[in-house]
Amino acid sequence: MELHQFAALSADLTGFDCRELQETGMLHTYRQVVVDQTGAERLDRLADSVAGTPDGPPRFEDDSARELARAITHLWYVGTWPGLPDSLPPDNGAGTPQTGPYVVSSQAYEQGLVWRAFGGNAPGAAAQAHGSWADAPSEAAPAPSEAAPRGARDTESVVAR
Amino acid sequence: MSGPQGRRWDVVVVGAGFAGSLVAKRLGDQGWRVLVLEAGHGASSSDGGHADAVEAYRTALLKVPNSPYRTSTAAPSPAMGDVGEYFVQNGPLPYGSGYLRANGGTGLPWTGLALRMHPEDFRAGDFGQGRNWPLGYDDLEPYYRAAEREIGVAGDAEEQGAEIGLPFPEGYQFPMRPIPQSYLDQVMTKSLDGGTIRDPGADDPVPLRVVTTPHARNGLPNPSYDDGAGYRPAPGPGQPDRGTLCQGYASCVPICPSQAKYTPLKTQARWGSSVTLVTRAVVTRVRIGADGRAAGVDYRSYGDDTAGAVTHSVDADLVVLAAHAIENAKLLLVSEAANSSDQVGRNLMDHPVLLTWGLMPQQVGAYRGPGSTSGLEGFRFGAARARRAPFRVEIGNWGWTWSLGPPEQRVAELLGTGGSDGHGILGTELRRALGDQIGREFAFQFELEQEADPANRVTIDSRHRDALGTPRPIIHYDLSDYVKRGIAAAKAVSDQLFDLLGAQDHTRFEQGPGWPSYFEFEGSSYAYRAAGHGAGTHIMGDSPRTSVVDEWQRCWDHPYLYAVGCGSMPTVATSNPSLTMAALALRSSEEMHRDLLDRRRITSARHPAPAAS
Repeated sequence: MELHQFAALSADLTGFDCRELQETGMLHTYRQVVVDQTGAERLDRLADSVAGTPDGPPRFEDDSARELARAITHLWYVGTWPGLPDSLPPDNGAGTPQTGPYVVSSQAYEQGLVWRAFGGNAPGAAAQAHGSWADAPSEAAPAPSEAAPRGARDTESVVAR
Repeated sequence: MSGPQGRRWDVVVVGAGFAGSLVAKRLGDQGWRVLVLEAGHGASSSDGGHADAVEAYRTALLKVPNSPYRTSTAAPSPAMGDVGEYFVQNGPLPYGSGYLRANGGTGLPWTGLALRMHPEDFRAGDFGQGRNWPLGYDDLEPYYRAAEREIGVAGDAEEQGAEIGLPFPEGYQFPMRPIPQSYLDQVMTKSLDGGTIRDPGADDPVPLRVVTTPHARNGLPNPSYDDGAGYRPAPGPGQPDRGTLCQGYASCVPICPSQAKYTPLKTQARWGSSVTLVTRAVVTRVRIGADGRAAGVDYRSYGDDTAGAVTHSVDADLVVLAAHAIENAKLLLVSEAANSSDQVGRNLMDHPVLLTWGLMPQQVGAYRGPGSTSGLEGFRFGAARARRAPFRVEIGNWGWTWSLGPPEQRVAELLGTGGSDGHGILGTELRRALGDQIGREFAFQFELEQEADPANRVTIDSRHRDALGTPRPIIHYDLSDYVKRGIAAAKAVSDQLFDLLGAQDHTRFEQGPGWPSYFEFEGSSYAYRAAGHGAGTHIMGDSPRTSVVDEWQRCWDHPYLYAVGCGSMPTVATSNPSLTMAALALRSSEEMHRDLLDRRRITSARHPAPAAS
């Protein structure tokens, strides 16, 4: 799967747009994790089915597609690959990867979207000014409204192909 | 390991944690040759393993207190809530606290709150609950000041005096200015200060006031400290000559990336050259001489695991056990030492913690700064403690981490079962739900005093051994009705606090794996967590018939044998105990020095020796 396609799928699943996802520096890594864990074909099928439902919440062909969508979203939000209940060995003949759950890397942990969702930082990841915790919290970047097209698809301008 | 074997030492200290590191510092400063034996691993890197530990924390799936640190099968470290990995738990309720066996001990992952005990806490027995101490607040006060200097405390002494009733010498100031109160504290102050609350245990309504908590982490140095001499925060291992300010990493437990939080490694960095540390050295026995005096210890060293463990024996004039309340008790039991009172291992206390959690009406910036920067102090003292366990209320800045798990948990739940159809939510709906909730999360953490009860105890049994063959601690633990009444009172207080704050209460205790400490009391459901404050197992007292150590933490039964740390405390009180442990260790160090001088005098009188080399 091309990187911009993975970014578009991830944007639909996470509610963060491609630019925000790009800023985490995790796009390449996560695409690789997902391909290693599920195989390229299953990922392509998921992307097709999600892309086929441009309005409203993503719909899924079956439970297996929904599980994969949850796992990819979890990965983005937390930096941890949660594992899949129906985990399959990769079809590319490569060595069996760790099936999860596991933290992808310290950078993945630090870039977890869950912290961005409320304007915070992952504990232990970011030095703050002494006493900054006494200030009112900064506004979290607002999630795009439901009226706007789901997950901005301006991928080509931000994601190197 | 440079070979300490066969050498005779002035002092052997067992355990390189909070108390052991302080004792070694003081005795080393007096010129005594001190060998410190640490059961766990130590790091040889110049930063004491700090960078590795930070990385291990960030990549740990479960960010539990011991997760950053290298643990050992030869000297197992019980996790929080260990119910069988290392401890053998015989109930009726679980003992929920763990500890860390590594260089620095549990002083690595500790919270860093540095509160003094209340004068009343030293005479709990007068209230008909637990025991009195053989010393009082006034005896310990100068050592509290010494400990506040040694570990570096930031706080507001005037406020501690006015709001808690702690006596300080006229004009006393802490080394550093208080750690700023969180935004959550300030929001609470607006709603709570000046109000009152009905405590079912108290006759009169309890006035509310949000009070800043003293911390052993670096705040702005106080220029007027020490009669204007000021204070210079100590650096962490590998840092330049000055400690950094607290930078609000919000991971104090289990690791402070900026090293603004005190750990015993800072004290170790100031050890004199007469102090020698040996890690991976599991002490297996205290040797008692024919004259009843402590003669030395046996220990086993190991490599990366238990393979190739080697037994050693060292002699010393003075032996100091500083291995944690449970490990100290275990070691005394194994050695069949110090137990003429039959109190070794008994009186095991902890801080059972009632957590209540919910959502504030507005965003409060949860998960920023230290875990707790303020508390409500009005339930710690007074006549009510005769009827129900007293408690301290911590305002928790880290959302629901301690009660339900970190925000990752909410992500998983919303993904799995969120939404109106219960099939989970995704996309902007998920982002919005998390953005709305997580920054409003908060908790109250009620730390209850648990009274010394001889039935709560640590024992050993040769059938239960660890990988090195050392007996594992067997624990019998329960909460008395006195503590349960305290928990019920705390819950009633919490209900009123939520009302006053207009906050949404999400507290819910269910029997099951999430709450192994679940119990029912007078028709209501409760559960507790544990604060990691094990105490009482070599209890201090004024009589060898009823206690294990005297007011100096010296074993009644054996001259020159000390057991130091929270295990000596006759009451665990309501304050986090580390500062008191530190003050006691510094006070005892003076008596150890006197003992060593006496011993030397006796020895040289018996064997006229050439002038000291």
